[in-house]
Amino acid sequence: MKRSHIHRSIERYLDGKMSAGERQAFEEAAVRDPELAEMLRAEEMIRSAVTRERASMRMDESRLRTHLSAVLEGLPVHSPLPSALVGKGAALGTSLVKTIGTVIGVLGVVGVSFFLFTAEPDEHNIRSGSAVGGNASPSDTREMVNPAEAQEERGIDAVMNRGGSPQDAVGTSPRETGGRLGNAAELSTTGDREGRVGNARDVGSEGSAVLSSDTVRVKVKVNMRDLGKDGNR
Amino acid sequence: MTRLLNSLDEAELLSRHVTGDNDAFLELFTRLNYRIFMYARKFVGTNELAEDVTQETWERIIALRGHAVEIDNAVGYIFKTVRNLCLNCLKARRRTDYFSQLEESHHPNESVPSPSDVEEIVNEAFERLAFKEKEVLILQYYSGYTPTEIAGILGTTPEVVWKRASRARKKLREMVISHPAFHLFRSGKQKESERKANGKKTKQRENVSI
Repeated sequence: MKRSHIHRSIERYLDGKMSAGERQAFEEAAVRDPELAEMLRAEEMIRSAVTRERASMRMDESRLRTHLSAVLEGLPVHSPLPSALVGKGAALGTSLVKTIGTVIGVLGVVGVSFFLFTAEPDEHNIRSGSAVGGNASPSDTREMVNPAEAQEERGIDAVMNRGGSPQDAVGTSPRETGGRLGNAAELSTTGDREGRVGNARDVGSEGSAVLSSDTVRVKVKVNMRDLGKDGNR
Repeated sequence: MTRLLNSLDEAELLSRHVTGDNDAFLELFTRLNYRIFMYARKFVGTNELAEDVTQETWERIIALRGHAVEIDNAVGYIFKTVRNLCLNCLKARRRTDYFSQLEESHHPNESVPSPSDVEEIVNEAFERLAFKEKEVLILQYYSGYTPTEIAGILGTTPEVVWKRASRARKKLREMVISHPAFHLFRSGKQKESERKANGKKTKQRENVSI
């Protein structure tokens, strides 16, 4: 018997796939050929070892089943996913979700940016100032710190509520305010209801002036009825 | 419902499980659990570790729930998970087993195994096979898959599986034969023929004495 056929013949013999004639011929060959007999014996050993080992392999399946059932029950109830997100449509569904997420994200960023760059600061909560009018450049900025800031706020309140001196509205002197709000004071003192000072953006007909530069806008509400033409009450 | 699930293949069951069908999961468990355990048991060597690997495998399958997954070869995917867990388990054991910590019964020795240790001889030979060859034989002998099913699991053709399994069995036989204790054993047929021969001799002696 050819060596290449030995292994196949052994398996066919032990699997019971040989005809009666083939079986007899194989057994006679095994008696004559010690190598074939060894191979046959080895295969028998392997098969019996596997059978015995399989019998010794036992697991507590009921315990595992109970455990897994508990895990399944403990899961949050999922509503079935849209078919586009499962199976063959998963790739499409994933890209769709990504696209929607991206659009929402971009819109959110644009919205927040728009809000931040267009919102006017609270008139009582001015934290920074810049050159308003005159020849001051946009870079001519400085932090409005106390007590000048507090004084300025008090002055504005005074003008709005009690019609105090316009000088009060912007500080004791233009120097103290870095020459920035001095122009606004001049606007108020001259009582120019429609005048524009420096790059003041708007002076309302009712006396509300919004002064702005590239970096900050200061809104000063002045009740013009309380001011005379010369800026006094 | 049960009849419907019976008719579904593993990929469909897994797909249903992912969308929240507990019955589909249990059907999958019923079909594959024993095979998974046997596969893991042969690789990791003890029932306890194999149970751990099996449990971990199923927990990972459960964790797929609610995720958008696309798995065409469900059984292949599951067995790949088992294989990775087995390898992790073996690596961890290799890292932590020190000779001084082993029980004496696990120390290597030079003594020839007793004739009752056929399994030991076969297991030793089994361990010396290449991983792919061993895997094919485990799936066939222990998990009970046919070469065609194994081909589906491993993502190859039945011919490749058949050749690999044949080569592995051949190597296994040769290794068993070359084992020093092999010649101490007799095959079942040899024992039977020896018993018959002995019986005939005894009868002859009895006849002679009479």
